[in-house]
Order: sequence, then C-alpha cells, then structure tokens
Amino acid sequence: MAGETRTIRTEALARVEGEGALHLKLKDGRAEEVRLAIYEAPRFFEGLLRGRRFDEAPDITARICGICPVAYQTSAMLAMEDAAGVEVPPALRDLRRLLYCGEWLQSHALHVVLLHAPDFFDLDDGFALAERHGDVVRRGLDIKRVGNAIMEVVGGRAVHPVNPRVGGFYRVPTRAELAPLRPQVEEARKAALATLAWTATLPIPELERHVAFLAVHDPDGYAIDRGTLHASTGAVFTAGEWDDHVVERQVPHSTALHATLDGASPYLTGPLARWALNGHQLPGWLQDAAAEAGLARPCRNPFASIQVRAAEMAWAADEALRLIDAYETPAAPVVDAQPRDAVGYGVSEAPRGALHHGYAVDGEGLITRARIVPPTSQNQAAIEADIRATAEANVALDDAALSWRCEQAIRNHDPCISCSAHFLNLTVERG
Amino acid sequence: MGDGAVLVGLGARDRGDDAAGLIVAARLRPRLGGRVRVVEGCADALMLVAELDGAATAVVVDALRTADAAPGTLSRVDLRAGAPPRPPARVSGHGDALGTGWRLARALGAVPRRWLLVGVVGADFTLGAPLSAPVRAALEPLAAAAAAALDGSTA
Repeated sequence: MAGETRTIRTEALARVEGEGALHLKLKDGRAEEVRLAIYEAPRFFEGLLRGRRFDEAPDITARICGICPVAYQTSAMLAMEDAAGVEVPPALRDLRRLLYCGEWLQSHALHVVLLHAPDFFDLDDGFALAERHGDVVRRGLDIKRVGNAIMEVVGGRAVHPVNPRVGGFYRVPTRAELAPLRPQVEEARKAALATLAWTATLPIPELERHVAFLAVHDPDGYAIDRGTLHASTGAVFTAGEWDDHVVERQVPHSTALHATLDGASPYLTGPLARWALNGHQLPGWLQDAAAEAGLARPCRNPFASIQVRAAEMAWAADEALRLIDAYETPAAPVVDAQPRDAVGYGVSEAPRGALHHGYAVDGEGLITRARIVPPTSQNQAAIEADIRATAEANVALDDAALSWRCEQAIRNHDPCISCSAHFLNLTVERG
Repeated sequence: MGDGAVLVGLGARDRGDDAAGLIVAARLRPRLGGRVRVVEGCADALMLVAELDGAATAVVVDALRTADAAPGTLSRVDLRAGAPPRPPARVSGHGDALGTGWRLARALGAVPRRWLLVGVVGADFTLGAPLSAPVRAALEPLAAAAAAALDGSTA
C-alpha cells in the first residue's frame, strides 16, 4: 500500500549467543532502517589484557567465548609466537589442529541441530525439535559429545581447555590416550554425513546474496588453525597485514564494532566464505556428498549455511581421524618462547569465521596493546544487508511472520554476540 | 535404555558451596568402584543429557539456593515426577544445566527409569569463597544420601 510504514522490532533475539535486538522500518515495501542492535555490554577484554603477561593471553581470551575458546587460544598463541619469533613444530601443530577439530564438531553440532534447524520447521526452539525429530537431535548431541571428548583428551577439559599454551601444550597425550577417541570420531563422521544428507530434506528459503567473502587459506589443507587471508575480491594478506585491509568502526546502535574490507562493506566470513574459497580442498567423497545434498559451490544463500556446517562437521571428524592415526607423541610438549619487545599477529578459522589477534609486547613480556577482531563483528553489516534483502523479498508477510523470517536471516550466521562485544575505547576527561 | 547407573556431581569449584556436588562425586568415585559411572561437573545441559544416555539410574548431586531451609539441609527430588527446583536468582555458578537438561531429556524421551536430585542447601556462593561450615559438615551425609539414592534406598 502506498505510503505504508511498518516498524518491526524484536527486543531479544532467540537462539543466538548473547544479547541483541532487531529493528526494521519498511516504507512502501523498501527497508528504510535496518539495525542489528547488539546491546550486550562491552566486555573490555582488550583493556583487561594490557599489563598482563604475554603467555596469559590464551587463557584470558579463551574466556571471551564458551563455545569457541580454542579459536581464541589458537589465534592468541599464534600471535604471541609471532611476537617471540618462534614456530611450533609440525607434531604440535597437528595436535592443535586436532583440538580445533573437536571445537568445530561441538560448535557446529550445537548450531546445526539446536539453534538453526528449528527455523526450518517453524519451531520455537530445540526442545520442540527434540519432541518431533528426536533422532536428528540425538545425532547432533552425539556429534557434540565426540567434539567434547576430543577437547577433554587434548585440551584437558571440554570447555575453556587448560592444556594449550604459547609454544605448544603443558602436556601431550600418549597414543594410547588418543586411541579410545577413534571409534567415537568414526561414528561422528557417519553421523555428520547423515546430518548432511538430512539437510537436503529441509525447506531452505531462496535467497541470493552477493557480498565479498573472507577466509583463512592454507595451501596444505582446509584452513582451520593457521594460514593467510584470502578474499573473493582477490586480496591476499597475512595476519600481520590485517590492519591494512580490515578497518573497524563504531556505529551508534551496536556495542560491537563493524568492519570494512579494503574499504568495502559488507563482507562475510564463516562457513559460506570457507566453502567458496577453500571447498575445493575438501576430500572428493565429501564434495560428492555435499553435491548430492544439493549444496552448490559457491553457495550464496545464507539459509543454506546449515548444509555447509554439516559438511564441515564431516570434514572435521575425518580430519580428526587422520590426525589420530598419524599421531606420534611429540618429543617435547612445548618449544621455548621468550618474550621480547615486539608485535605479533595470529589468525585462525573459528567456527564462525576468521578470528584475528594482534598484540604489542614490551621487553618484560607485558602486553601493551591488544586488538581482537572476532567473526561476528565483521559479519554484522552483512547480516543487516541480509535482513534488508529478506524483508524486501517477503514484504507480503504479516509483521509476526516477517519478523520471524528476519530473525532466521540473523541466525543463518550463527552470531556470537558475546564474542563480538569486547572492545574498549575509553576516554576519560578530567576537569 | 541400558541398565547402567551414573552419578553426576554438578557445580563450580571456585564458587564457595557450589563445589559440594563436585566434592561428593570425587569422594564417591573410589567407593562406588566400577559399577557406577561418576562424572564430576557438566558445563551445560547438552553435556548432562549426553551423560544420561543409556543410564537406567541417574543421580545428580548439586548445591541448592533457597531461603526456605537452613544451610546444610539435605534434599532429595524425584526428577521423573517433576522439574528440579528453580534457583531464586537468574544467576548460577554453572548455568541452569539441570533445568535445561531436564527439559531436553524429557523432550527426547531420554529420562532414566530412576532419576534423582540429591542436594544440599548452600550458604555462600561467592567467587573464591571456601565451603561454608554447614555445607562442609554436610558433605558426608550428602555422599551417603547420594549413594543411597543410587541403591534405591532412602538412607
């Protein structure tokens, strides 16, 4: 109707980690205002790190997130090792990768089954899905349990692992300690493939989004624990060159910083970006299984990200099997990393996308500057663009249905709001 | 569903009396031998539900917050008959793993044939606090009550 203005507000988003709201104003079928309003209180981690020892960063930053602590630990360790001028040997790197596979399994299983899947059945939550599709939920919980088991054995505990450290680990497991994981991981791989096949049955809404993709790339394999940044724009840069390409800025409606990539916004990091930029590195059998499930590559439909996560679960289980089979107890659990007056950078692929850490350390080993750029803050602008596109494509829906569909557009990206709202930009003026 | 038994001690070690469930689970582990799987701590509801999988009997030990009973008071709740008591505040030392896990287990049809909560009323849940005197004194009675719950007796 000409001149019609509709305002849609969702004050508290469901099935996302952290606290955020949605504000949408439509006029004559066009989205005039779109705000993913992140109101979670800033958590000041970058400020908390200043003055702490360089080797405390992995444990402190792990506390940013209970779902992806390994991502924070890994990026922090890489950055501190960069600052110290050391590189961990391949055996320890593989053990980190195994730990990271555990995190991907538990994080993706949580999102695929309990946070994302209910959307495709118009169900409110995972409880309702469990009542109607208990087999699907049980399968997801089984995958999550295996991810937790890997994290317990390698990381010391399932949440906020205590074993990783700058330079390696406090203690490395024996082959015998890893052996019981193998049959569990084998089952998780089967369960993940079954989940991927199941996603082919979902009524996935049509949406085609054309935004730039950014992902970590490792020429030796599907990137997770290390690599350089590759963008669909052709940009290639190292973690140390991050600030030359990614610029953060504050917007009034969010306690998380927005980001631009080479001056352009929005861009997207996470499963769709990895699938587009690195999917060719996945095993042929997995690419075939994804194709059978109807997952194209590249995939530009954020609603189909559930399929990419399912494929990535199968890959993470397969990669974990490979690493367990090849495991030889490293000669030493850690390489010496002495502090020096330097800067260091690290980047890894958190389940939700590229996670950048940058630090300055003084000669005493104390952190003088910290910068952490999580995937969800990078994705905020892309999420808002998705909300806009979704709203304008579904303007015929009533307010409740349109609000629900727009909430789904947010959940497609598995936003971790608690991760995103951590910056500190505090100015004190005294008279 | 299998015929095994599991004892889950819930809690947070550095939150005063909230450590009671973990301490009791650790004490009972050697006493129960291999006949009962003992789990110390479940960080979230999904982990709790996973631990219940295949168990015919499950006993959860946790500290409780309530103003209706004196610190150190023991409590036993049949979780097949109803939901666990809700904490009076939104804040918990370890999240609402039991409440959420209870809902999810029911939705999945994964409720053990016997499922009991054995709790002790805590006095102090402050970060870094030691166990309060009433809860410290109640640890052995709490362990005995948990063991009895596993056996199906009411000691």
